[in-house]
Amino acid sequence: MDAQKAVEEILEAAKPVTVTVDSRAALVEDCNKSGIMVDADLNISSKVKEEHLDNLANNLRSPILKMVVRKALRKYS
Amino acid sequence: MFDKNQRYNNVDPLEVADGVFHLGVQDEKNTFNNVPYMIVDGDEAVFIDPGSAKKEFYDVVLTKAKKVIDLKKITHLIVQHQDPDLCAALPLFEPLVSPNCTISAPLEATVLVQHYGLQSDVAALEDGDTLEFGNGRTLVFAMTPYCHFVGSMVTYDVQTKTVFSSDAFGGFTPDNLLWADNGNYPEQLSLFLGEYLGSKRALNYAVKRLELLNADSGIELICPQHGCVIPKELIPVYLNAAKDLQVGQQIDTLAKKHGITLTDIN
Repeated sequence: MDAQKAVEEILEAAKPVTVTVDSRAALVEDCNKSGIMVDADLNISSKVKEEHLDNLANNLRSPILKMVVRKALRKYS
Repeated sequence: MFDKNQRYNNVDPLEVADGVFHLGVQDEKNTFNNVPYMIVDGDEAVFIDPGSAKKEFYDVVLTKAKKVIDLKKITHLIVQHQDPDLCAALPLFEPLVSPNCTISAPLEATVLVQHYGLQSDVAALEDGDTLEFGNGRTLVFAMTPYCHFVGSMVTYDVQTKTVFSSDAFGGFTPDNLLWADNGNYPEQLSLFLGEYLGSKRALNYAVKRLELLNADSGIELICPQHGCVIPKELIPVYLNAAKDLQVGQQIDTLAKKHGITLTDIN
C-alpha cells in the first residue's frame, strides 16, 4: 500500500468535513498523535509509513473521519 | 434569490419556501446536523421528521417549533423512515400537538416507529398517498424503497414544489450553512450517501423518481434531513452526483477480510 498517497487522499477528503476551526484542530492533533505531521491546511510535512496510517485509523475521534479513512483504505489496500 | 452564505442558529426557524420552515440543529461534534421541517398553511401545520430525543437537539427544535406556530395547531406528524435521529422526539411532541393529530410513516416503518413509546397508532403510508390541508394544499408521498430502508419515502409539497428528501441528498456538514453550494457540499453528500446506502439500484430508483417528479411537476427545492437545502439551480448537479456515487462498498471490504466471495447481482 502507498501510505503516503492514502493519507494525502484522506486529508483531501477530510477538508470539506473539517471546515470549522475546532474540527480541523482535532484532525491535526489526531494526525500528529499518529506520527503524521500536518499543518492547519492539512499539508503533510513528514514521510508517512503504513504504521502511521494504522495509527490514524485508531486515533481519529470523529466517526465521519473514520469513514473517510475506511473509504481510502478500500482503494489503497 | 437566496443568500448562499446564510446560516442557521439554534434559536430561530428559517422560512425556506412559502410556509416551509427549517428547524435545523447543528451537530458540530459529529458533523451530522439534524433538520426537521414544519409546513404551515392557514391554521394548521404538518411536522416532518421532528427529530431527536437527545436534550440538546430536542430543546432547539421545540424552541423553533413554538416560534413557528402554536403546537396545538400541528395536525400531522410525518416520519419518512424509522431512524431515531428523526423519530425519537415523537413521544415528546405527541402530548403537545393537536389531540386529533395523526402520526404517519411508510407502511414498513410503522411496526418499528411504534416502539418509540407512542400513545397513538401510527398510520401507514403507501406510494402515491396524499395529505390535504384544509384549504387544499397537498403533500404527495413517494416511496424510495431501500434508500436506505425498505420503508423510506420522500414528501412533495405541490404548492412550493419542495421535496423533503429525508436521508437522500443529505450530507455530513460540520458548519451551519443553510444552502448547498458547489464547493464542499458535493463531497459532504457523497461521503454520507456513499457510506450509508447499500444499494445502487435503490439509489437509482430514488434519483429517477425525483427526475420524473421534476419533469412532471417541477422541483424548486430539495430539503434533506441532514446537511444543506439544495436550491433549484443546483438540483441537476446533485442528481448527477448521486448517479455517479459508489455505494455499499463496506460489504466488499468485509467480504475481502473474511474471504467471502460474492456474486455481483446488485
